[in-house]
Amino acid sequence: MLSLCMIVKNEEKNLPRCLESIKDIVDEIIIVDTGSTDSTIEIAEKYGAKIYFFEWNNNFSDARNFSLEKANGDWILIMDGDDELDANDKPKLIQILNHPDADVYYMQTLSYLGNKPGLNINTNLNIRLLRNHRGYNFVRAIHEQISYNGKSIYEGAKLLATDIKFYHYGYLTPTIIKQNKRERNINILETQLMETPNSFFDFFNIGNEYFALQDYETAIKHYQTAYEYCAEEIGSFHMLVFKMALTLDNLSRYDEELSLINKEIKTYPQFTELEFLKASLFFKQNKLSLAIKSFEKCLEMGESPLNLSYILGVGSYRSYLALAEIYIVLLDYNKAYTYYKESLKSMPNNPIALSMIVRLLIQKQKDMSYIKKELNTILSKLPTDKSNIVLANTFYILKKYKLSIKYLQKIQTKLDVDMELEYLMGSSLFYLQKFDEAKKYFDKIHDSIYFEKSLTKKIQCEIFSNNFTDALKIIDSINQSDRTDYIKIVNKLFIDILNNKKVTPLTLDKKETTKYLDEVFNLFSAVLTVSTPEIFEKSLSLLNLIDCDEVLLRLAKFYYNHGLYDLSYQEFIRSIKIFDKIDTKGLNMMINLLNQNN
Amino acid sequence: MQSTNINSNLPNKYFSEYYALFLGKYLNTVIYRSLFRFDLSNFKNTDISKAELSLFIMRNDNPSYVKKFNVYRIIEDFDITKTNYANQPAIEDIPVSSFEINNQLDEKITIDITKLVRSWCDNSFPNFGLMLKSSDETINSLVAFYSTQSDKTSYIPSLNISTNTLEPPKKNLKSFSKMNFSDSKVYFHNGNIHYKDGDYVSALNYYKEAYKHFRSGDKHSAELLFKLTLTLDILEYFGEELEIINAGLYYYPNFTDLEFLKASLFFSQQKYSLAIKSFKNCIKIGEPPFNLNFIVGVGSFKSYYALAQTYFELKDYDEAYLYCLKSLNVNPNFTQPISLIAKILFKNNKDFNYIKYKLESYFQSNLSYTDYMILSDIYSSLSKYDISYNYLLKAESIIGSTSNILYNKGICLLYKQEYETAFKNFNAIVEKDIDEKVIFMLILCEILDDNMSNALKLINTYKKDNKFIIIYESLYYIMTSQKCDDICTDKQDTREYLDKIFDLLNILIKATTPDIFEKSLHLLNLIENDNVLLMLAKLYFNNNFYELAYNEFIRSISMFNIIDLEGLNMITHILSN
Repeated sequence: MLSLCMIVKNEEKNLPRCLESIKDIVDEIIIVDTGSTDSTIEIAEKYGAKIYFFEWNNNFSDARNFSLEKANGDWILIMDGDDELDANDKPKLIQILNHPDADVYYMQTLSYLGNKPGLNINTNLNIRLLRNHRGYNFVRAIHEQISYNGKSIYEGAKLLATDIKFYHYGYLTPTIIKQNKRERNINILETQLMETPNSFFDFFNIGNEYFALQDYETAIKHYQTAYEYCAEEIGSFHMLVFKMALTLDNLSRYDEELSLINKEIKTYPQFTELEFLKASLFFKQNKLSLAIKSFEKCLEMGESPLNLSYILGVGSYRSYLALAEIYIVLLDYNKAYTYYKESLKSMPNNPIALSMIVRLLIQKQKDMSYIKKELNTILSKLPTDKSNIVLANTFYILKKYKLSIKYLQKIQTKLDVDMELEYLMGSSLFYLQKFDEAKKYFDKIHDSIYFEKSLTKKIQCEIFSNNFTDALKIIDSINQSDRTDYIKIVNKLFIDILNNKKVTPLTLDKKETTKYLDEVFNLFSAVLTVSTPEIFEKSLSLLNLIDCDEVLLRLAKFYYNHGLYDLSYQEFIRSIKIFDKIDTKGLNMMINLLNQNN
Repeated sequence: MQSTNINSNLPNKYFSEYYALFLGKYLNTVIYRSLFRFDLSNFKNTDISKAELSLFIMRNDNPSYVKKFNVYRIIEDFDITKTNYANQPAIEDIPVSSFEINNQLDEKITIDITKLVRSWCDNSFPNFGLMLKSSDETINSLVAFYSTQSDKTSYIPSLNISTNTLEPPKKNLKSFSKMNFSDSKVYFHNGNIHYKDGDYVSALNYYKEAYKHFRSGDKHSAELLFKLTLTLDILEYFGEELEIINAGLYYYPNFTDLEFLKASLFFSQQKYSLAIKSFKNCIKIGEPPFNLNFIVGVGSFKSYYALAQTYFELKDYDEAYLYCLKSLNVNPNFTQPISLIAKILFKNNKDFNYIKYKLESYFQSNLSYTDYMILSDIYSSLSKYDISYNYLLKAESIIGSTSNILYNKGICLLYKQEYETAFKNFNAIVEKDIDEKVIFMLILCEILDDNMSNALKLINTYKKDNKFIIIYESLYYIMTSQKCDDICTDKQDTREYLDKIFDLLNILIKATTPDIFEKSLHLLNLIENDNVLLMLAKLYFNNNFYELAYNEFIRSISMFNIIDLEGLNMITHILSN
């Protein structure tokens, strides 16, 4: 008998996905609620769960152990509300239950990072399955560890790691909510640290929280303390090494990063992640030959063993992808093509690589039917709907909006939570100047990572249809928030400029300037595609409203990325002349521009 | 073919199995002569149009002057394996022909011996071979070639014979192709004349005409492809260049020279991955047959060295080092890799004595005069003038005070800011031969040593003979804070003057204090050219003054709108360090 044990709070958006994935293999669902105010309880009831309430006491282990006490099964399955079991792995799980050879099973958790599900997957091993009534329970307030009759798990417990996969969607929740969670976590951990000072785990975990908050200076201090406390036999030591290397990288402390990696790769010769970080560092430092060798080494090593696996694909598609990018820099397009293809073999769901494939094929003067055949071969393993989404994305990147729409329309079943399809459809229509149709799709998007972007485009739909009053209405209706402020400011100014109203310069600090410019260049992309050169010319005066010596450099790069090479070169020169501003990326573009003329 | 050399110092010793052939006078005492015999049985009664003996120079002890060597007909039979200085065969009194060697090293020379070979094949003379000897056996003139016994098969002597009996062409094409053939050859010939004169645009036109009548079987076709490629490269028609190379490789798949040029083109375009592939391919193809070979070592040491340079650019110093070693292994006399090794060792912060020991170890056990010169150059390029100077002294102790050594010593002393001693060295050259650059340096030494009246005297003495003295005269005025006029008002000539001014500035930047150098920059105000700031920026860059370089690049862009590819790469280098 298998009991699912979960602790939840306000998981109405995720819970159905979670319970759907396991409802036909568990015999009992125990849900411990710590104070939901949404429809979580109703949803749980629908799945026949036994629901208990536990007053939150800032300690995850207490809540977890409470749920364990309620379970009647021989085995306990542990999940969070935002987890999902990979449907393909159900048989494996059942197999284990029928023929167990351990008491505790670690399984893989694949977390989606960044904005949306897709390429950025982080893997981790977590306790997912354990035998009930054998004296196992959880200790530690956060990042709970298992304990066996009160002893450390490493003595006597029968543990096994398996490659059964769970997907974790937690990192996709909007940043602000995440931030609050992080700060709460730090508080809990620091209290715990006061009770048990000199603890490896606490320093390590606090480091992790600061890392997640992108406060790398504080993170590295905690990691380094943990590193001193800890010997390599502790189970999480390799993870500490990995996170430390990442942190040093973020702090641009490259020499320290390299010596850490070179030292620890001797301890963990199968730890492909470390080699991968090293290779990426070489790439960043423009040491391309060393980077090539190092990525090739990753491929030779293959994926890390389960217990060392943090980034999926370092032994395969990620390294192929990086090699492809290096050969693009080295202008060796044949090799780049080969590596893009290799990468897509194990990870076809990558629109950026696919769009590069298309570009390289066009460069080789292949015709469209040949290109389509190539794409179909690459995507042959994906289910039809998935491959249609990927192709829609690919052609969107390539600015082939009609094709993008064509593939979006082919999609049969809509399983998209993030409204990616609506956004793609709306944007494609937008760039095709079908503003009325586009608006309908943007209107559907709420509460998603695409919300701000679609809001901007909605305003611009009105502007480019010359409905300035409607545009202003939308702008005025937007709630005050950090993320929408500059959408309002920039588009309002743009309307004023179009109406030949006098606009006054803005006084912004550095951070604000960046936000302003991001929004302005967003607008430029739109103007360039859907409007006239005269209007584009007018919109350029948005750059005059702020005091920033990087505007011309950014403008030059903008032109370069949009294929306006002559203008680009001129702006680079102007940027140097007027502001004395240039950087290596810009110089590389200039070099390419000069090379093209030869 | 058989070869040997004979040695006046060891008159009873045989050398026919030795890997090298020596020729000329060595250390004022020993005389070397080289002898050759050829088996021409296949060419009996054949109409010979041309016969060339190719030798590969592996050593040249006196590169500072031209040495003349004569070819003599041997007039009695002899056994080459049992020939020594004491029993050497008799030769004709008058040489059949002669040839010269100046400073060539690690390259092939061809000696025209058509007259001799023709006379052997038409039976007008018996074939006893030939002897090479120096035209003046009282002057030091030692050179050496790989002998027929060398295991470096690409470098051993060879005899190339062309005959007038062509293979029978297909009937219908006979007259037609003959006409095309001669057309192509004439155009090619005209192209060569313009190429030699440096008129590449005209050369290109002729070569292209010649290429229109291209036939892979024609004798000059391979060279045409080679020259056409070089011309396109010089004129920066890189797209066309690549097309010609690929066409050439289609006709002659083992024409390594073309693959090498392709690789070099990729290298200059910073397409390093393609360059690596192509250089590796050169090694795979190996040395081309002699009729397809115009650059020595493309199938081996030159490509290894090029790979080393490519990896150096990619900052993969270990790999670069390995390829340097490979290059040296194939041809220890090709010493450019040693300079690169020096740079790598310095980059890796190796200990000073270790580097010195390591570098010297790449030469033969007894360092020769040329070895010391190379080491001196290496250290000079690394701005280690004391060490560089010491090597020059060692070279001098072997070879004496040649003009070359005196000049290098003078420059080194200038950089060490020992102007008086520098002057003495330059002055010692004047007693032997007068060269414009020596005069320039004499004036410069006097100016820097504050002997202004002496400087003026020298200026006035040589002013009428050399138009560029005005540059040094202007420097004199600047340093004595006097007013001076523009150096050159004729736009046509500015480039020439500008190059000379930058030659001077490139010395001054090392030979003097920042204050004086800055003062000397006033020279650039005396000439009107939009490139001055760009050139100044590059001068700073090449002398490792990156910040100053950066500022001048920016000024060049701001004031003249002028920047080029090399400049952009230098800025990138500055910013990424």
